[in-house]
Amino acid sequence: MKAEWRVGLRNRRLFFLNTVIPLAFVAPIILSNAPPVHVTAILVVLFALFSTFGSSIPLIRDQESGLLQRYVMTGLNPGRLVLERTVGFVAIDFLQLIPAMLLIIFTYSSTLGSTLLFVVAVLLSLLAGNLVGVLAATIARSIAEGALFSSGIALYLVHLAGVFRVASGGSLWATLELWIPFRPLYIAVRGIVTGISPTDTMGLMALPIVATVGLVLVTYLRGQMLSISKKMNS
Amino acid sequence: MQDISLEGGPGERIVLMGPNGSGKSTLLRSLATELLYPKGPLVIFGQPIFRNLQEVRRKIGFAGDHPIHLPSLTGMENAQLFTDLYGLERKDAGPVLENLFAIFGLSKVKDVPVGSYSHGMKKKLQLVESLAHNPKLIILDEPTLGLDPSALEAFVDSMNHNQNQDSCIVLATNHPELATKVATSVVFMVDGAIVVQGSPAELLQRLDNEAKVEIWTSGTAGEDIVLEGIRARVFSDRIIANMPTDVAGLPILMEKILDVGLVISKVEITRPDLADVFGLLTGTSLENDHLPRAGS
Repeated sequence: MKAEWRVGLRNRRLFFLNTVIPLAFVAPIILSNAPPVHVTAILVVLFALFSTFGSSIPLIRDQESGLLQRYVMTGLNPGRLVLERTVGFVAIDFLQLIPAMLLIIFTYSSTLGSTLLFVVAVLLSLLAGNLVGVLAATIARSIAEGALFSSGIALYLVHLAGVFRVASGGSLWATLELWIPFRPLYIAVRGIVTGISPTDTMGLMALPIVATVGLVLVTYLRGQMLSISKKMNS
Repeated sequence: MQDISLEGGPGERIVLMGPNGSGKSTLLRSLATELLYPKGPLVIFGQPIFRNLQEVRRKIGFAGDHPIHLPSLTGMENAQLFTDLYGLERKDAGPVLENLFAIFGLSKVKDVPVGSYSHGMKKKLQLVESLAHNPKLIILDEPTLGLDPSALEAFVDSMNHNQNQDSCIVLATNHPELATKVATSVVFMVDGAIVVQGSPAELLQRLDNEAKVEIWTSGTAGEDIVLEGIRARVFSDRIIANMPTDVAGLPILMEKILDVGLVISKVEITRPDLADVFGLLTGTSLENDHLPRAGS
């Protein structure tokens, strides 16, 4: 995790780009007269993609270079290694998204409650998105594959969160929707953009948090498979 | 790979020699627990590695043939990252790293990003990272490949006088002088099997009564030149022959070389080295891996 911080902060050009690019996407959208439903969808998609790419690409790059194998060879628990790196990715992603988040908060004059919900929802989405990115990285064989898998899974989860459609009440999709880690982000952004805040924030957060904990466990177990990654030719 | 058993204790230095494809790197990577050995349990420190893989790995220092680092971090930051991962406290790791950086001549560049290091400097940094946590088993794959002669000398010194006297070192190299200087035991490998094992002195004794004659030529004879009692190996730029120490056959060999139209530029008579012993005992050559010698 320390290395993630050092690398992230040392590579100032990349850090600057990763800070400016979300801002450059967010600004024209929220300053336009686009309908709130479109603004909400675009912002959620943007944040979801940003979180998954942030972890999958560096992990695949380190796998390809052999650096990840070097880390594992030090005797570090590989599951713990990927989780620690995920925390580092989340922290860096969050720092890089702060300007874009501030712009959203101030543009829509968000209330304190809505702002707090937004920040917590962004953190949860970043954690879930980065875990998805890590999982995508463990099955991808190239950076291109990793980007494809992670963005595909993220977009599907965004869809399942109800961003693009309204599920029929009581249906399987409506039930599933409540578990998706990107749903609190969707509800929080929609609340800020429309000015209508959700009432049951605890109910909104509970199931996505449980789902994210499940993702943490799956990622830990998947990380264990990095223990010995190659078979010797007999 | 065939069934292989290597035995080594504290202070021992086992050198693997063999041509490309002989299995040296595969053996080292499996010993380092990087590769999964498919034919049965790999036993290190007297225990199957899967019984406590992470603990075994903490006792191993491995430097592969390709140095890999975080290019945006400095040499010291990279080294600290690995001492952190091995679980060393910063206050304990600091003096050890400073000492190793000095031994390998990296002190002046310790605060420079590794992205601007040469290949040789990266190799040296990888050696620092492999040795810093005082491992019980040090595994080095071609550690001197790409090092300049002074760095090679520093490496030999570090192997002979380093603080890892309670470690067992297993390294692969086809550098005969390096093997002679550092090895307590030399292992010749061919086709994934150990063919011969012995101390450098024992192995060199096999050619005790012979001299090695290297004749540097322009052009090539294209095939081995066979003389009575002498077998000469022909390379693009030189011919190497082993003959009795009185080198009585040298004039005949030189005449034969001149007869086939080659021009002789230099003749060198030396003691046979481990590469010659390898050729004698295995019938194959290390030459495709031959390296420039220290100080040459």
